[in-house]
Amino acid sequence: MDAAYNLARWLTHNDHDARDAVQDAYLRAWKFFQSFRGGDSRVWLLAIVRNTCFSWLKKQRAHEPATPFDEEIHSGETAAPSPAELLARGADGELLRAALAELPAEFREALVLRELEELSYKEIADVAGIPLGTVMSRLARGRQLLAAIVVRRRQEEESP
Amino acid sequence: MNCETVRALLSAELDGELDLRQSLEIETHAADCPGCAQERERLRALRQAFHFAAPPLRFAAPAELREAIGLSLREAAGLATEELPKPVRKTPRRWPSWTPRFDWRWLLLPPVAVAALLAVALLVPGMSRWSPAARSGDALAREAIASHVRSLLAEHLLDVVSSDQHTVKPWFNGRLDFAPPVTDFVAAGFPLAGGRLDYLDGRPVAALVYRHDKHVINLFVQPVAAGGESGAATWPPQAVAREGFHVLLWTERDLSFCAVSDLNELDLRRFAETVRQSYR
Repeated sequence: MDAAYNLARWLTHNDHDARDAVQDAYLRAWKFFQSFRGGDSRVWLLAIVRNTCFSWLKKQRAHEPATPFDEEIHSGETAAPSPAELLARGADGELLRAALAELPAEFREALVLRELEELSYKEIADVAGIPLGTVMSRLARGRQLLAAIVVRRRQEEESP
Repeated sequence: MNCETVRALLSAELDGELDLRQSLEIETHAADCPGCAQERERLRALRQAFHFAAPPLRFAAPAELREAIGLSLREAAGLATEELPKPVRKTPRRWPSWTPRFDWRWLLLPPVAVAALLAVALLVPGMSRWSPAARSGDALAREAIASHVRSLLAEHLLDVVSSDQHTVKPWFNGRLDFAPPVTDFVAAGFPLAGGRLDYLDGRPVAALVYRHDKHVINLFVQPVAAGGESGAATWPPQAVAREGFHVLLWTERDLSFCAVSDLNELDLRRFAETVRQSYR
């Protein structure tokens, strides 16, 4: 259940909605258990949690102006921090948390499943319903973006 | 491999998702390319950052959520059980739907119902609670599957986690009005994982949890209902298959057993046989 809640919490950004989503997902899982055709029940459940969250997010966005993710601002290619720098920064959980929260949902989802739930690429593909190659590129891109956000936030902190 | 290809694969290499050939090629390339080597270090550092982040990034499910979900699953299961046909009550319940308005044939119904009830009663030897006739084995199997699934979904599989039968058995003391036999069948390939208290057929039962490879087996044990004929063993077990699960129901001496798993039927029968042998 921790895995389910963790994913929902990262996707919805808040505790209340995450709880609702997880509870809803469990009830759906219960109802549709017939559709479960063996395999890893954890992956199956996470897929339901994920879909519940995304349909919830879609509903939310319907009455919220969309803020397109600006690739220019978030482009990671320009400033590459040294590994040592990043490590020192990485220890700061709050900074990493804020940076991860800022990532677009599809990258955030892939990183949460990989880094926090330690799922394999195959499992992530099954949860998110995307091809294996997409998992690979989302994680690669997501990590670059994340590193860039960490650097930007750090710079903002240092020179407000 | 050129830098572009390597950069695209670095992330997957770090996750151990590349085959040996690709990993070796990246290794060789990084040895001669400071740019890619640095990028690789950077990714590794980011990876480390996730693991050593303080406070940790992973959210734990709040305790209230666990409770709420356990409760709502129980409710959902309760509703599902209500919808199940109860063979003995079936006849009287059907009356109204047969005759929307008064009909003299109504007068025939009470004797018919009485005869039906008598027939059912005669067919039930000893009215033992889990004997197939007392309550449809199918209905019980459904309830047992529901409990099995709930235990897996709500992650409430075990109240007492131990492979030691001498820890699990005493745990039930004071929690149940009978002492379930608890044996570790690790030699037969069914190691004991622990036990918990569950409800089946409206009364508390012992749920013993065994594992076989990656499968979980729930073994529900409860005494044969009062008035039941102890010693009337039912073997071979009644088998029910539903939704990819197998359920085996049998009675041995004064106890009723119900084994549920997604294991194949043959292995589950072997498990049931192992349990039976140990309790005879």
